[in-house]
Amino acid sequence: MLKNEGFSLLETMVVSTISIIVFAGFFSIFGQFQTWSSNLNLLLERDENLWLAPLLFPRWITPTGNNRWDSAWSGVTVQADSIELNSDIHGPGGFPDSQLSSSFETLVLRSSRFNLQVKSGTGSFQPVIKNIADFQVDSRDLPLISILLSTATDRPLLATQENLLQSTRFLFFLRNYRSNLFLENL
Amino acid sequence: MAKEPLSSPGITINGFTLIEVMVSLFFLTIAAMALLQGLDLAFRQYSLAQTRWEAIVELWNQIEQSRATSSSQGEAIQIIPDSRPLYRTVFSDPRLGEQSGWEVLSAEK
Repeated sequence: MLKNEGFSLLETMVVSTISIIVFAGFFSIFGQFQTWSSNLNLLLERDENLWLAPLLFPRWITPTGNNRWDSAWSGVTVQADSIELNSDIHGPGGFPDSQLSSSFETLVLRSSRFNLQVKSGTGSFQPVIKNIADFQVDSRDLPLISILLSTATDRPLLATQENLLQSTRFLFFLRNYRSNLFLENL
Repeated sequence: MAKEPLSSPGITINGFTLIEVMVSLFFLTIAAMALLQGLDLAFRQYSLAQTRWEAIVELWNQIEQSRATSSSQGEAIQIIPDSRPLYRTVFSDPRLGEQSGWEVLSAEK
């Protein structure tokens, strides 16, 4: 007859201890993996917002300032948290018509509620880049505009005290910028 | 009716052998290492992308600054005879690789 005695108390204790160590190690590694995956995800989300800026800004900003000498508006108007860009680049026959009639001739960029928002023509502000912590424009060296964008993560990173702000300064040269194009003799 | 014994005489249940346990632990370790290696690789690539991004923005700013200040720098090129020359400048950054560079053509102001 087979006699099954099972494990002794000592064997059970040893096996339990080893199992606990092995599984604690595995779950610790798995926990670390989850933590840093989440952190990486937050960082990438923060940066992919910032990476939109070089794609959008040159299209919006560089055509600015192509205005006739008698225009009633300025090409670039900088305020505390916004910048207004006017460019009379469209009219009959492809020439300026002294009107900012097309939607792309007037753009306003502003930072509001952690979003960078844009307004085109008479439309309303639409968010384009999120997680914006700071937006500063310096137009003292026109036709060179300096824009400082700072982005932050949605929430603090786990298990680190790293500074989460990512600040980048972009320079844009306004190729068409003229305060007054010329006095036309028509 | 008499119950059949669960184990027949002569059969011994040994459970896992030491080799089996070691092999399973080895696979567990490999899986854990693969997770960490994957994460390490992801962070390395992120760091690389970050460095390249910073280099590209710096180059972009240099080019815009160059266009705004002086346009007659670099090698003079005359594409059309008797026309004003264009000036060719290559902006590069070692962080983007030796072969990379942005070629900028500009005219005199």
